Amino acid sequence: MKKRIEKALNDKMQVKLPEELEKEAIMQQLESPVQAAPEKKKKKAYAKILIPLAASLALVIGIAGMFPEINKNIEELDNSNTSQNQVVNVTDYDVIYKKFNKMKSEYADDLMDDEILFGKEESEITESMNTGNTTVNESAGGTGADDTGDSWKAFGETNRQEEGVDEGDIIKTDGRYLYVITSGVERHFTIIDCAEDKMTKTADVKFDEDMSISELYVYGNYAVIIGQKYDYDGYGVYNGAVYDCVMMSGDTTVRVYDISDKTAPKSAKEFTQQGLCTSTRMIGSKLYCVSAYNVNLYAENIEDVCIPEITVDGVNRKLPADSISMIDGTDYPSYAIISAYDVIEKGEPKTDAVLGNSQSIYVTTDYFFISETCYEKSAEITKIYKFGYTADGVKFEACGKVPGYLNNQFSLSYNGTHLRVATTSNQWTVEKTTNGDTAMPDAAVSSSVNNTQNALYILDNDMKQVGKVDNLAPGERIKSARYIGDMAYVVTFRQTDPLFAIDLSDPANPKVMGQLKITGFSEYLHPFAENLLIGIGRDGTENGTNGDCKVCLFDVSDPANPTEASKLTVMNGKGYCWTEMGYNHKVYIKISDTDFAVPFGTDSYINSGEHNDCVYIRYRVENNRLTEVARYSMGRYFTALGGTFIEKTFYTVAASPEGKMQIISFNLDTNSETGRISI
Amino acid sequence: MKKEMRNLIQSAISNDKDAFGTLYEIYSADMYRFALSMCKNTFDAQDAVQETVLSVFKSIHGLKNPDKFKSYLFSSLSNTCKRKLSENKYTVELQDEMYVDSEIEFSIPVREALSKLDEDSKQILMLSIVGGFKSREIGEMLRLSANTVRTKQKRALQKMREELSL
Repeated sequence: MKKRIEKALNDKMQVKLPEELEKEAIMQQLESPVQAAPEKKKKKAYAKILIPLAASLALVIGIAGMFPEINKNIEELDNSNTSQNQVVNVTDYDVIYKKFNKMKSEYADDLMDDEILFGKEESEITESMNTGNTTVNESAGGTGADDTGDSWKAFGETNRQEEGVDEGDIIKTDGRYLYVITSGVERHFTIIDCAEDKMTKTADVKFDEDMSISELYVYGNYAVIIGQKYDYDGYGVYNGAVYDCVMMSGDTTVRVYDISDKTAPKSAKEFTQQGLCTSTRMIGSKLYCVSAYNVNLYAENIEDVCIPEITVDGVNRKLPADSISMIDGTDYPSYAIISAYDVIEKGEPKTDAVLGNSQSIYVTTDYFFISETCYEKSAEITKIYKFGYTADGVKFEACGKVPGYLNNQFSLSYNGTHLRVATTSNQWTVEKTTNGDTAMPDAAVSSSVNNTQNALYILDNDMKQVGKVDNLAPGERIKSARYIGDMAYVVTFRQTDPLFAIDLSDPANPKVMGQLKITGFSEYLHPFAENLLIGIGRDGTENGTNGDCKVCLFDVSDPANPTEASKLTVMNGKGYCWTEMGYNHKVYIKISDTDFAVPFGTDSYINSGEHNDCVYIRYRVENNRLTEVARYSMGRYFTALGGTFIEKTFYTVAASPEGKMQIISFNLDTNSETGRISI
Repeated sequence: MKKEMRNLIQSAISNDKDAFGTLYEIYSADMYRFALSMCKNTFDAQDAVQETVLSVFKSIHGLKNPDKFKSYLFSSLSNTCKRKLSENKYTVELQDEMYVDSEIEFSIPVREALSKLDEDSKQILMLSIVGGFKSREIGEMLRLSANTVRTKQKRALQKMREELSL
């Protein structure tokens, strides 16, 4: 439907720019407001684009000229030796200074001298460690921490990718209390006592306005909260609202609270590292925090900013040279910073950095992987940095690279000897638009990426490629992947959903065992029981998606012939529906060995009038069959952010249309709503 | 985002006026189309684009992630349009002139269908169709949840479809 309206609008809204808005007129206007800006010489790198642009449609030609090489480049990458992955030994800061001075001269030979735009004053970093303001709710009943003597058996845990590696969430429980962080209009850390199925707020820590809190862990009597402070610049605020879309840098703070007194969490310790948080994990009592620090090449003195710093108890210190790793050939001024922090033990975090970006992390108890997708020889490649564990932190070991980009952390899996990586590669072509004009570059990029290919690569412990399967579903892209033992299950999509089952037992020779073509596609795959895989995603017909969502059960007992054992749709084709599942696996809640719940937003437009709802749907798997048990409705225009359960009560965190956060509880026996509090 | 595009934005951020001009050229038609659909008349639309370009040019040095340039441009344009609407609440009489302007083939059914949408829905729909943004991106720009954006967009499309009998 959108396509048709889009077409109607495009056909009927052909506009001609008025003279005043022609580029020349605008360029003239630009002269006046920034008189102070001195004439700058153009960068060499851009000259190539700018000159052909004079002849109006040349940028596209420029890009088009580049595309045919990409296939070749992928081949080259595939066969390239690892000479580019040589680790440069950093013995002192001089090596780093030299590197950044070189980058600075390459990237930025025309700097703005009048303004330092990206520099971060040290005081700002200290300020970022705001102190939480603890308020105790008066209605809290005495010392809620006392053990009531009840035996709390079953309660929810965050849906994790790897056994033994906890992932941060917005809600955690210890079987009696709920611990919740909210980052809406206001930022809070709230503790809620759930004794006797009632929700009573016992404590509420309010965070500074400019601190956004993203992840929470609870370990024994400690709660760990990951917060980020964005470095807003220039145009960040309009009408009092701060736009996330313009912020690019900031700091990440890890704060540990002692929560032994549930009515008064005490800020126990904290540290701050540069860069926005990529992700975190927790193994035992040790927290691992990864951030991406973009070095400001425009700083007055590059040597002041090119060594990452951490701040512990208000004191800044630069990372020692031997904690910094560089790989030959990296030319992007960004660090992946990784800190290991024991939340119980006294002591400072152990922080390491590797020159390179960090976009996604994948962590097992064996190794810690950080990945970034970047361009090399105008092809998209994914670099994966591998770290091993030491007594106090991590140590960079190797870097590998594969063509294409990752769908998410589930595209990676390490089985003790090999890292398996599923990627999609774009092969670009430029199409002409219907009226004969060559499409604008951006449009060309978004509308013409129809030649994709998917592959699965196997890397050894030195991060060298030992095997691959490629040319999977050309023209489609990977929507989800999951590994179980020696099998990989990969879902790709263009119009229908093939589920590939790939046997990886011989790393040098992975083989596609079977594939199942069904309608729609799964955005998330969850190993449910032996030989059963749950797929959650969009429903569809032979011609593509139909607006509905589906939950299905794949039987993979015969790897060569995966089958769809059972399938349920959310709206039965009578409406539109969506789920967060595809980009946030933590909203999946395991309730028992047979039951799980997944959130959906629904919109049905039958019977005239609107009916919008936000529901957690509880499903059950029995005898290879999927049934819907109940729908827990949060309300119109609500957004489900996560949930958990304690014994017989299911709790969800949901945002109201105004952005206010609520916890809503449901009885798992009667399936009715039992309570609702605002936090 | 393509490397060339990113490079171009990066040089615009480093105050390279030519690069900025090129970026403007790339987005100008979409910006004007967006402004036309939001504003009540061509004058306001034209003003909104001009003001936005100048203000973005002045503030672009603060942009740190080149990938967000387009969001930045359109959220800024969208805000300017909304401001224009509130400033010119009482200049409705100009409305019709927009559509007799010979340079614009803005068909009557589309105009009418659009005029039946409330401001927010129109903004969301146009950010999605003209700007090509995803619900999540629009949500970030407007501080709405992605769900609200999707619902509003869905409903706006539904309404448009009925109006245009598609």
